[in-house]
Amino acid sequence: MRRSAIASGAALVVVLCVPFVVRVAASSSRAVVARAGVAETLVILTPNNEAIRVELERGFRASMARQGRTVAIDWRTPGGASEIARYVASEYAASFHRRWTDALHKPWSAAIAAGFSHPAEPGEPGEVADARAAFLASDVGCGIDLLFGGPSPDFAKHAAAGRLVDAGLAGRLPALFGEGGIPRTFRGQTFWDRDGRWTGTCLSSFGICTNRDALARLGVPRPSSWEALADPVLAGEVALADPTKSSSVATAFETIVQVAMSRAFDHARATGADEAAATDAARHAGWDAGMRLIRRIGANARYFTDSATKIPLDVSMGEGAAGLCIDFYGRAQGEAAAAAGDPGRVGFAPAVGEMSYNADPIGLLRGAPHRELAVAFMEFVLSDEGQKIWSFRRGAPGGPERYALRRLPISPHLYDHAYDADRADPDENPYAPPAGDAPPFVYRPEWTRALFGAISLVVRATCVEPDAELHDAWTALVRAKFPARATAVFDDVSLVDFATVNGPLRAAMQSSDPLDEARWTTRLIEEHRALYRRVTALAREGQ
Amino acid sequence: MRKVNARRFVAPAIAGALAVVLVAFLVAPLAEGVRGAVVDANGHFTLAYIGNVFANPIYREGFRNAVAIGIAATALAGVVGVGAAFVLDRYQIPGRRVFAALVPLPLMVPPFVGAIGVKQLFGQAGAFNALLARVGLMNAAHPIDWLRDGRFVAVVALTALHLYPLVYFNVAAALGGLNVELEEAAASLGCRGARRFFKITLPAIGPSLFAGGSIVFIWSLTELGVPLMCDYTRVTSVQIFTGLKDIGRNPFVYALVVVVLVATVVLYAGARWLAGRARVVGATKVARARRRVPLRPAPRAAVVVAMTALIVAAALPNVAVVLVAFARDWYGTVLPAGLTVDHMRAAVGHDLVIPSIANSLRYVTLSTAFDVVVGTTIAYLVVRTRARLAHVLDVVSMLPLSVPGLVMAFGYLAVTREGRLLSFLNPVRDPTALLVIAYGVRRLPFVVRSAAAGLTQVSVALEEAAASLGAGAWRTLSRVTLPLLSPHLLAGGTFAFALSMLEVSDSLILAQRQATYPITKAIYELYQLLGEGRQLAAALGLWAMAFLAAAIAFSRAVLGRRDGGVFRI
Repeated sequence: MRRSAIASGAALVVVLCVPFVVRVAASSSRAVVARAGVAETLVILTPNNEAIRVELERGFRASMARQGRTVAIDWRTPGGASEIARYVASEYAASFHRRWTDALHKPWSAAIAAGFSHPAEPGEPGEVADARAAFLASDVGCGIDLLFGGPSPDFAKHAAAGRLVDAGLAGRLPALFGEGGIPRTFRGQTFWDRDGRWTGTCLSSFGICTNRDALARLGVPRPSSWEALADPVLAGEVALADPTKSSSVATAFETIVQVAMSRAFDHARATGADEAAATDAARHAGWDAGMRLIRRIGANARYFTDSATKIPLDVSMGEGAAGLCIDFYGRAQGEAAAAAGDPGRVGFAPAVGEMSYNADPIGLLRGAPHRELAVAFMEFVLSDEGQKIWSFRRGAPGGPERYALRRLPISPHLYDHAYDADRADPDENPYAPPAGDAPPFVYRPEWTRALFGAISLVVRATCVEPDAELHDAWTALVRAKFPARATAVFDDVSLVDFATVNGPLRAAMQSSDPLDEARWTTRLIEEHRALYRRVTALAREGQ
Repeated sequence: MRKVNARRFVAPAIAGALAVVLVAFLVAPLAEGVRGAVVDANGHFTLAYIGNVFANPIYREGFRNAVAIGIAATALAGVVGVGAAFVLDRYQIPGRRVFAALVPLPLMVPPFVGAIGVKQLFGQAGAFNALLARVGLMNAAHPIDWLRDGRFVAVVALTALHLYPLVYFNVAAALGGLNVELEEAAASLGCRGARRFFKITLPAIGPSLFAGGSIVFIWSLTELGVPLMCDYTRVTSVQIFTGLKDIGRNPFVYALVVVVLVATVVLYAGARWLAGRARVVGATKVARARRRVPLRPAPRAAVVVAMTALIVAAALPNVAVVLVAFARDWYGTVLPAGLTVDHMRAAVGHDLVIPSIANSLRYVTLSTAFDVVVGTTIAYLVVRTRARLAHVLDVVSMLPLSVPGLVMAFGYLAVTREGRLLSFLNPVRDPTALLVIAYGVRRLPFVVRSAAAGLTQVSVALEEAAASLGAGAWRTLSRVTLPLLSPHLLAGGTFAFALSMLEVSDSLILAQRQATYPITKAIYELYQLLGEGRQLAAALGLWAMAFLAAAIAFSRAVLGRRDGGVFRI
């Protein structure tokens, strides 16, 4: 054999052996989860990352071992939250299709496929109602016990579709779901389903992560409000997420609109308007202000990503001075920069008084093959033992062992000062009144809940899709120092005022024909591209 | 007489069997993946969604940009790939073997790990800007935003540098097999230099150039990672990717996939027709080895500098990944501030890693074997037989290049669900069979193209001579055709192996249980870890690059001998 073959063969063997050698060396200093002798297996579908899976599985196994049970978790991870939402919907559709045709011997139809997992609609065929009733009475499943993690609106959709069922937790844990326990709603956000089909396990919110050096280079103070992200100095430096890709990001944009509406409402009330007039002000002046703010923030956007982890990562590397960021991502990235010897490079500030806290849920899937074990896991993640894993420092008694998860516990009890020394983020308490004079933001579902999807579509049609034209217009405005006429055209949001979005746009989105929505989207995009081009032309002419 | 009749039916029978395989494992999942493009909410057939794609100016602009990227990147990769292959084949230059060994480096970087490297180098606070600021060529207060400000150029350059090895290897294999006498005869008749290159050499390597170029074109037309990294969103591939992630209904994204598929088929068929019109001259395999021409000092130095620049530029993401994997911190400086092996130890020693390596080796070895067998058979049918189905198979086998991975992955899930014909392949129980098929189908074009190019070069006269001396079909194939074809199969198989090892979409969606994760999913899982995920992914990515480099070197060292030195790398 040639020398080169021997050399490359030896290199191949060495490369293949490296992981085994490192593994053996590591296992002596680290507890290795023994897989032998597993008697019961729980199947969980989740977008949660490896750190959460490792820590909660370790805790759950230890908890069950104390009861003399040997369990393991079969984590299923077919992608992120959006892939999982598709996966669950299509698995249940296929599963029920088989039950309907094979066991019940009834003909399948497109109407049943489209309607069996949606709330009843007036005038729907009787067969659809029959199919829905059969599905809701069935134990049709997809071989998975629990859905764990993701935005709560996704869980609300699965619950409404009948894919999640009551786990009976409210009855089993009365202290946790009763007076003094986890509130069902908090400042307008739902923390657990009234019918027991899902419940939050920890809390998170959006805020602004920042890069110290980039801000210093631009000469701006650290932004801590949504308005600060609209500062023209930050042009091309704000990392944003696309609300049409994630329900939690959509909630963030909805909140920006709601904050503006709240201010208009409060202002109207303060100037003597009655409730109805103030609500009218919120829906017009407030809505418009929210849309203008989104447009200006969008004009500063570096990008609109679908990946929640990309933003803090990019900001930490100086790819953007600030970004819209989930709280625990921002904190973890700051911790990583500090651990690498550069504390303070990455900052995170919750948007105080302008953001609400959302629950990260868990739900029992219909037809769960290991229901009892699944409920035991739900109880574990909500127990003090589980809540400590979510929120304690790595190495603190009862806390995580390998990875600090840095999540805020949902159980109010864990915010007791007795735990301050052990919690990773002892200064954070969503249940406490916000610091300073700002009143806490209270979400009002009656204002915009029905427009949740429409607001995302508006952001897409006005900022995400026409990003190039928006960027050009903004750059021209900044260079020309915001001439009056061009600025007025830029700030004109009449194409997406409340009446339009709540009227024809919402109707198009509810239409059974997706083309209706597509036509609206295309029209809005084209109208806004034209508007931004006009702004660019006017600004260049100094008008 | 009976034997002749039997042989007449062999080719159509094999073509039929392959058609069944491709229908089951490519067309059916693909059709399932894109049925939303032509079926409305009531289950009726419609072309309205596809019509809407053409009516949407943003989609039209995205497609124009994608075609522009495809043409520019293919031209650049073609010039660079042919140039590098020609120089290394013809001239005696110092370090020739090292240059040749380093050419495939860009293809060995796992997709999202490569993005970490490129951003590390060319980000606003990246190493390149730090260097420019240090030498006084840039004001640090106004850093250049390379990836954002020059998006189109950045996408074209990064794509071409990533893909030029595809052209290089196909052309190198062809040059290695080119008849020396032919060029010598041309030279003796006064046809020398550039004239000889364009009149003799280029037409002779045409099939291989087409093989590499067509793959590069379709790949860059549908490339996702690079435009996404540069935040260049008005490109079809990114529009499809983001559309697939929509939480609401979006049938138009599937319509867009269909439009891209049809466009790819038309463009590919057109290019194939054009390439077919150019007659291949003297495509006989080499009879004796070529002697490399020595160069005078000045041109030799120029060639060495050019090759070094090319190899270094194309391998920059690899280098950056290596440095990120060992960097304690690397931010705003030319080089990392301090080195550590902690990330390497944490990544390579992670619980996920050893099983994922074993899994990947199993999946990828089997899928490469699938590619070599199926790909060579398709190529043989296309080039050597008159089976009408063969040309359909040829075009169909190219489709995976233009289909987004996510669409295929969800198509596979749908056709293997309980109650469906392929439910025995359901990936939840054990994804091995389905991942082998998925990887195999996705990388099939590489082997088909390489094998077809090789067969075009192998003179039929040699096979006829073997037959006239009494060798049967199998003996001719195994003793004459396959040995002459082996450099091309080695090139195609190497790509299939390396790219399957780095396949992302199928791995993420189809390997759902931790025990079945392939290496790319393990990298992805580590990448998702908050804080140090980037370094851990780079560390495991580095391991994957080292493994691929060693595996490719070993396969070349062992298999490369059999071709009698034709595959001279």
